[in-house]
Amino acid sequence: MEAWPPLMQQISLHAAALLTFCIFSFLYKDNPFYKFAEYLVVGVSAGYYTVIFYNNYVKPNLVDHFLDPTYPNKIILLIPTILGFMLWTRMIPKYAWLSRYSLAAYLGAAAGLAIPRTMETVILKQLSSTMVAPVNVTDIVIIVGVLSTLIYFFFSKAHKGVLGAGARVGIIFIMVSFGATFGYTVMARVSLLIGRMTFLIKDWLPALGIPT
Amino acid sequence: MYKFLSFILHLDRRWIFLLIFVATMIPFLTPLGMDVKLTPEVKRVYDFIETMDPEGKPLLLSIDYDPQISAECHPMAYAVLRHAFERGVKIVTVSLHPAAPALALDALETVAAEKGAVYGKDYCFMGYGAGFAFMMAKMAESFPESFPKDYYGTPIGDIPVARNLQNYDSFEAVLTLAGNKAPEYYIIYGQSKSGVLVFAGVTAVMAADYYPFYGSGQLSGLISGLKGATEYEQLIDHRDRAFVGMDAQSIVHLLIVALIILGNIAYFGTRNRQA
Repeated sequence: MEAWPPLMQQISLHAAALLTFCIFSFLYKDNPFYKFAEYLVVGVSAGYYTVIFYNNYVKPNLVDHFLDPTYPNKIILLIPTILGFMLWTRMIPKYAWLSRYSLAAYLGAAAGLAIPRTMETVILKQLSSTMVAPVNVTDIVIIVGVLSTLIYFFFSKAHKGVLGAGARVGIIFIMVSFGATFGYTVMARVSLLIGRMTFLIKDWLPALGIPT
Repeated sequence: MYKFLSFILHLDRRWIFLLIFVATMIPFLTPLGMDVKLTPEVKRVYDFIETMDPEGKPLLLSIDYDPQISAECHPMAYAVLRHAFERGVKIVTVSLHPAAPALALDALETVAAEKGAVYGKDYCFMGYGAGFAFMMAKMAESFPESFPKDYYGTPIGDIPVARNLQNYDSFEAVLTLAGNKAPEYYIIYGQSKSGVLVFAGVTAVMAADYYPFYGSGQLSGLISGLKGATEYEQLIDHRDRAFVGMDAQSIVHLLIVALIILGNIAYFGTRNRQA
């Protein structure tokens, strides 16, 4: 990739720092600077993704094939073209029902592609990995965890007696799982702050002539 | 005492934001360089690259993260590339996230310049592949049809490191760095069909979702969050941004734990009086 000229690099660096401060200003209270940065992200993202999707989906798969005189069976390209245009009918309430056909075709194709493989790799394989011979403590924890959590989600019988005890153990496993997930989430959010701080201190301050 | 506890309970949250901000700053001013405990899942990624044959099949590096999570995934990319280029392991890079190519280029160009890796011979970048899961499924059929040209427009047949690629069988393994469903989809659409080994580097938020895949053996190794990136930097003995970040992470975690304890003491200490 051709590098930007130094002046442009400097401008982009300062713009990024300014926008970081605009976003951080929300921590004090909502204000116009934050709003400006927020709307800018939404606008730039919409523009960026529109261009990317046109150049990577629509142009190579449709427009280029239409314009290519050697491309065979161009007539078949009319099917995705029409389905694509039908999606836009959602903007006109009177004809919005037409978009359902496009969505149905998309969902059908996606589900057809996903279901067999997901069943095999996510459900069956994951299930088999919980059916282990209890040879160490980890295996026992897996077996007890899976069974007790399943018992907790078994609602056809009142959670009393053995079922109640199993469900209570299940709750403990679920809570531990939530705790681990929440802990990881806190860690991830702090990482985002650290990422911005790294940018400000390691990239932006040196650009201002302040050594770090 | 009651006055102090009541003050803690009613403290404006902005003071806590300020405290976190200051705590994050400390390691940047005085780096602590604390070692981290290595985990087997990160070590397995390292060991795999360490034992790869430089003359053998390349590694498919899929950079699938956007700038908002680059704080966690970018250090992973740097560390893995440093390790691979140091060993002479060939890398073929793709991006299945539309916002990822600029980040992929940044990591590739920086580390390649640092390690003297040559574009086309040691590594290449095939650019953004639209379709995500569909693209992963398509790569199982034909890699050249999925990526006929590289990012710069060079036909795949003219790129020495990529010219013989057919499908996933042409790669030693797939390593995806992502903050989304990419690792799961590589398992579903890549591994289930070809049996290719899949390694993943994910954000901390996603880590809990991917441990079951590591436990079942579907993921051969897992780098999770900034902690995982720091472990990798420690393994390759190149302490960079992840290490500084991890110092800040540790301090902030200690502060959060202290605030939680203090908040609970304040709550229980004032509860009776309030009732």
